[in-house]
Amino acid sequence: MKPDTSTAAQPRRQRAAQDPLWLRVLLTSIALAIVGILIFLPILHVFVHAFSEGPFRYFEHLFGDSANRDAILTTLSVAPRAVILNLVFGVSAAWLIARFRFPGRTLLLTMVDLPFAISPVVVGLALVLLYGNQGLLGPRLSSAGITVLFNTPALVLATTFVTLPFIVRELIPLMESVGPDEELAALSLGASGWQMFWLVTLPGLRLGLLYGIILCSARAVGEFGAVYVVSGRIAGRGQTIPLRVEQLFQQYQSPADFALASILTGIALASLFARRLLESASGPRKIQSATTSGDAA
Amino acid sequence: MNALFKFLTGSAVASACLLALLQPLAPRPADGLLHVSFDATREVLLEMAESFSASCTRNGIAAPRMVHSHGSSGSQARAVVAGLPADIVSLAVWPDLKTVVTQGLPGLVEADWLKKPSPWYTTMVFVVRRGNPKGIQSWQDLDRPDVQVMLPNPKVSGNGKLAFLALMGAGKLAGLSESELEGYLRRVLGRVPVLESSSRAATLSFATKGLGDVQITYESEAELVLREGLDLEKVIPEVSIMAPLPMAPVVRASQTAEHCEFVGKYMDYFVSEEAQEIVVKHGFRPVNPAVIARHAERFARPKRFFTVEDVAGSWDDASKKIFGQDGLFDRVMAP
Amino acid sequence: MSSRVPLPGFALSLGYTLTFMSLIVFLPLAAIAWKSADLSWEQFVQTVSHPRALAAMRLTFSTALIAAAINIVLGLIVAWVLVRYEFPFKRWVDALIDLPFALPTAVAGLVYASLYMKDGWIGRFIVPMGIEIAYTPAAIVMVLVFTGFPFVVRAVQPVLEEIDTDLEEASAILGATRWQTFWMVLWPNLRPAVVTGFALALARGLGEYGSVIFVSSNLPGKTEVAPTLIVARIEENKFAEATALALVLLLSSFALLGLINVWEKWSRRHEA
Repeated sequence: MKPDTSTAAQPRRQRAAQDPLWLRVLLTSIALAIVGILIFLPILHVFVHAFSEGPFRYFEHLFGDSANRDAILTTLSVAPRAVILNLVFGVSAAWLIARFRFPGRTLLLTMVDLPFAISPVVVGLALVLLYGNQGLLGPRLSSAGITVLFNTPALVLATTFVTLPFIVRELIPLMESVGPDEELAALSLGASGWQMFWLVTLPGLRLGLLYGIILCSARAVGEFGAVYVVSGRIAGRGQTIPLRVEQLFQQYQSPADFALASILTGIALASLFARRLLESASGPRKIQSATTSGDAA
Repeated sequence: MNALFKFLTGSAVASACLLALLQPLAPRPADGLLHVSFDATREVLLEMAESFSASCTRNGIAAPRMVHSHGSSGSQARAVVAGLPADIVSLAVWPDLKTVVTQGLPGLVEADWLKKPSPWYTTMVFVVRRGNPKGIQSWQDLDRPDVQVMLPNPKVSGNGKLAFLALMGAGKLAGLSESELEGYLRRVLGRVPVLESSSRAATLSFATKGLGDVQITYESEAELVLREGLDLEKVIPEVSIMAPLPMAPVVRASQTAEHCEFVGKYMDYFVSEEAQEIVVKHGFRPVNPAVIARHAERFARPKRFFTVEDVAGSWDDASKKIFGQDGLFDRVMAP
Repeated sequence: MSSRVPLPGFALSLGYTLTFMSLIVFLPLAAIAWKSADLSWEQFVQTVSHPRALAAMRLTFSTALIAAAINIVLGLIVAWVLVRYEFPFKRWVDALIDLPFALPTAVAGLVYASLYMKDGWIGRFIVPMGIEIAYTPAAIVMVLVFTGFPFVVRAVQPVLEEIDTDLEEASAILGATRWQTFWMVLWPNLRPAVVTGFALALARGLGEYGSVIFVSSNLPGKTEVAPTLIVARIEENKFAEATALALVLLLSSFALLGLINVWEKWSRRHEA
């Protein structure tokens, strides 16, 4: 993997020579303009507006308002649960899909990708239909005193659904590329199944797990459509940060709104940074494509 | 057999993981009363809650904490039906309360609340840009081709429904025939720049995004934007709609007796003189006779009121023929 | 079982995976299927062929298609520059490309809503020029371009990196112009990646809600997209209709993705 990057620099300069200078300058400016207007400007906008009344007011907006504090706490409580659930699921499903051939395997692989193809709004609708008082399970659960909808469980369920593919999608190709040889060796040397799992399989997945967790967390923190449908819009009780952002948007609270948005933007930037670090540790990666992944076998 | 056992073990572990992580973080203190209400009441209910708790303290009762949820009237009714653990629900229009009564679990809101008098009323007024550059004074002015009207989506918003009914009522009073009225509505609605989902969203778009020339909204929203010191003016038309704002206690399995008692106290408090002064302060119309008498001058306009019944016969007719699927609203909005 | 290698944990992981998927994914989707049975076939057809629903579907598909098409052009330029040229802060620019994946859509909507407003950073320049983007379908296209932007870039980049420059040199020596070389030598290699990126951006755009509600005026028949209409129906308490629309959105995006996949495979085989 490593020598690849060092030798690539030399021919790259030659390749560039093939385009005339004016074209190079033109295309580079266009590309910079695209990234600048599309991506950089919005980030700058968030932070400029968040701090438009000074840093003191910024922190007052964030932590002085009990509903904002609650939104931060709710997100801190919901997102990690979704990540943990998808982490355990990811390891289990990747082990199943990457290490075994069985009937229905391709179908399962497609099903894992399903949440990518479903509008989050539809996910919210599905949960309402299932757990609402007019729904399939809702009446029975509510007579047992359990409220799922408009409560933390619905937020966790919605977030977990939407972020389901992220970790497992990272682990499957990684596990397939490593192959089962080391694991088989461990078994033949007398290791038990769990010993093999903890000592051989999991350490081999370290980078993929980290990468998946970063992707999954970023998405879980920011999920909007699905939680919007299942939330009770109660200020200061069970609202995630993105929901609170939308609510503040409806209340003229521009600086407070951008202050909260800046947290989300910060998390997004941090996740990009963390991914860069991982990539420089593990070599460049390619995009995981949901449409061409089915024919790995 | 061994494989089946392991399969079931995996299955059980998965269910256990899920159940464990779905538990709410900490059991919420059950002392809060949840008041689910429509969007335009954010400020008034906050002050009401403070004043209620002060009054409780004066009477030597431990005051309950009030928690609020706001959204468009229709979606709030939907949420309560679906199981939002409300203790009190206050909605902008009667059909939304009917939705809660008829579609909710039996007994969620007792049916007789549909017939009880409301503790407050509202009317529809205009908000225009400072100096009223388009000279908008009456419902007829809204028909001018250079006037863009703002109102929220009548399908979900009480403000939207009342604004639409007010347009209809004003048209009828002006002697428009059925087909003329439809043309009037089609022209006015056709120029709406944004059909927001709730009164507050419409106010926001009108006030801060500069969309539209005139907003048809609750008198209370007009008061609010004036208090916020925005570059806007209130215009009260000669005639408008007067509509009761229904409020009712919600009955849930998880409620304590103490909860119910406080809900009753709150509902009683709401029509007291002290509470109704807060109602007036925020631009709603009171029902307490003493308070009405005190503010008679302020309530001199609009000079003439009509009700939903005058416009549409009944709320049930309005829900079906005007706001129902392919009703009048759908017809005038059809491309 | 039919496992190829004697590794442990098949039954255990099968049990875990299937149960988890059932509880999280299948059960809610079954509720959608259950609810859609409430509607008779006539009612279903009536719901989804309602002018408002048709207009919303048309807008959803046209904005998502336009945005994905714009992303092909933008993505190719950016990927080309990132792979072939050197310039200052290149690593930073490269890292920023992924931001739309990571940035919550509500934040994207919030920012784009204020950028293109009359007095926004961009709006104050373009509105006097007569370009109104805020609250028009163009605003929806803008946010969809943003949310789908990384797909094409990230799909094309690795392919472009691996293409052998010898081919291009040979083509140049044989007298082809730069444009001909791109079109006849590079494009056939890039096309599958472009199609993949396009399809992913499209699928993302079809279901996008969070950012769209901030920037669209949500006028029925004019600027209302399908997910917004679904939420409107949910809020009107009309679950059966919401479900019908959700089903159509779901199936049509599947069909579209499937079609693109089939077309791509067919044209690849056709050329080979």
